Amino acid sequence: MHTASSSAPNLANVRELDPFSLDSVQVRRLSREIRARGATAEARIAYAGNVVFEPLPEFVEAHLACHGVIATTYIAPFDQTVQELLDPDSALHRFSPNFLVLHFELDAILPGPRQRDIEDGRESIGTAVSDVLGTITPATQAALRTTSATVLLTNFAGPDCYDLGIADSRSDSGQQELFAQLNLTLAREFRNEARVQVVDACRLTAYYGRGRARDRRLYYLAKMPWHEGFLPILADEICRHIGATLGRIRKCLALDLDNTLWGGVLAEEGPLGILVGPGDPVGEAHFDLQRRILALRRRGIVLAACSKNDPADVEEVFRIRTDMPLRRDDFVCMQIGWDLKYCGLQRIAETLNIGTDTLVFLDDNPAEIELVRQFLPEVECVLVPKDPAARPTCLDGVHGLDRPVITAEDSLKTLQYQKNTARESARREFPSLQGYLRSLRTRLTIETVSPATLPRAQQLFAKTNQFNVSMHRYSPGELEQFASGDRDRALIIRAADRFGELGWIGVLVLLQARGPHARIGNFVLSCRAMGREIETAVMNYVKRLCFDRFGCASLVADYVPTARNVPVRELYERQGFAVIETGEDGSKRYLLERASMRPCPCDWIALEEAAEWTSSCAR
Amino acid sequence: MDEQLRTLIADVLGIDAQEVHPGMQRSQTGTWDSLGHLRLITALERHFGVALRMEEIERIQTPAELQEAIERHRGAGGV
Repeated sequence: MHTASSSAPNLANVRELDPFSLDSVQVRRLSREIRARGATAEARIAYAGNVVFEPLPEFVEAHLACHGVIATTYIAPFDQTVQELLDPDSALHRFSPNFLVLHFELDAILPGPRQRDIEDGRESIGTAVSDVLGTITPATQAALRTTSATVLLTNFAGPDCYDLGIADSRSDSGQQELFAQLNLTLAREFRNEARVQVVDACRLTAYYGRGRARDRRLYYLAKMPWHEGFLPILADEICRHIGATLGRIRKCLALDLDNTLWGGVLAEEGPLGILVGPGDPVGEAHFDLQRRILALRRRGIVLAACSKNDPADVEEVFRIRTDMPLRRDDFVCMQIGWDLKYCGLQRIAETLNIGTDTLVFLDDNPAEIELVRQFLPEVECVLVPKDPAARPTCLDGVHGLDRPVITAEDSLKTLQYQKNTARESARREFPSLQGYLRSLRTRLTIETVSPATLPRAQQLFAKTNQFNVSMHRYSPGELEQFASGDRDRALIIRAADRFGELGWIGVLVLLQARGPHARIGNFVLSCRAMGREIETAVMNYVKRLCFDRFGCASLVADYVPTARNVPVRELYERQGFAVIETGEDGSKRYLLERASMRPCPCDWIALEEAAEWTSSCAR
Repeated sequence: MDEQLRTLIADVLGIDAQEVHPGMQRSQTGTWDSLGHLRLITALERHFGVALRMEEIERIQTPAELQEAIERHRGAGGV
């Protein structure tokens, strides 16, 4: 029934709402409220294509608000994507989006008569596919060239019925063939383009029901392609892309064990009695859940256990039950004992050196979850569903587990955290910190951000909360501009030590590098590289670069405080900079002049410049 | 006029419920443009559990006609 306006969803209670429970009227009210409030929008979303987008943007705004992101919308005039993109004075460019949703309906690019030619065999599917891409690719490229937005490009929904009926799969020119080729070609076209993300409308419409997802009445009447019931599904997916690109991500999944990772209670059933694997319906469900959790590891999410058990019993399970998809070494941290769960979660965050606001916690006990919600409201808690059949998909609703790009670093993350644990135990063996740092034999490589390292650089800006000095989260578009120009530079830092590779762990943006007054736009360092003075080695390098090589007179840097970046509160003081301005919010501006420049001691770190970068410095 | 219908129309079109009367013309209500009309139809369809035909959607000009269409479909057992 219609919700009374007193209990209506509004911006004050929006974080507690399930966005899927909102109907179009509530969504519209929320959207009006967001627009009226006029707060700074984190997501500036433009829509362009050959459809009427309303009311999708309102759904996206409302869903994003439920996830804590304020968004603002611009909709390009119907079917004027290219004109809007190529005109530098267009309303789209004035809006200056950081996201651009591009949607093209197939029937307008590949009209009926052409489809008939394909069916009659007068035209091959291959030609049709390249023609369709011939419309989409230039529009997308124009967007990449003329805006710094991340492009969210929808693929094709696919047919809900076949012209050839049940014989469709027998034909080389059937609709399954056409849509499969179209979507595959589209995916491959932009697979390595960091700023294009394909929104899989094909899967979403199949999930919802293709026949139901499209409202033919609205399409014929007004070129509105989607049924209202489908809009929450599409909006949710767009939110996932936007949230992940903005760095709203969760880094670690902490798991309860009994009746969560496996069916049954270990202390009662014993390692052979717990249910995982074939032969038992509950066991099958938990087997699937474990497989899905294992897949999260590949996305770069690290796993931890947080449960009330005897630690020896749990070790025994992993030793005996090698038939489980998850192994002991898939977990980077085990908090097994009789403590309260939120204490275990805090220790997991401390061990991994990440914030509790990047944790997801899965447990089957509502009381435990309630307690965690009270003490650590920033942890995203998921209750294991009562029905075992619903368990394998129970984490699908957590947006923070999505990543826009999965880099090589992500798939190695578990290994890297484990090595960090090894480094920690090495540390305990050394009487002095210096001795320990020397023993690590840390080596750094510095180079300018290239197309190959751009996704990782963007990810570092998006994900880093602790060692993030100015809090400016550079977008892929900004980073690309640095790469093409000569004035500003984004330097990316790779580290290795005697335990192995740490990977690309930091980025520093140097503006107006060639002086006379250079400025550090931001400096971020992954939390797993903190605590060994890598920052000092990098700053020594930057000082040499600016003052010795480029002949700058001064170097300016900024610090903007947040609740999380306490570790860098005095970074620049430690590096010999002087505070020249202090803001009311505690932000500081620093200056280092050539005359007062001196390197800080850090001889235990070796630093090397990539050849390409050395030559570009000489230029 | 049905009170639920009145509230819903006001809500979707962003006008005061007092302004909504059975004879109010689509063409003379600023926010009741073509897009507003489709928003209104889909909201009413969901609320009252009916589905109108395309020509009906095009033809409807006033709240009275909306109410009549909804009643016609509900009387016919929904669809």
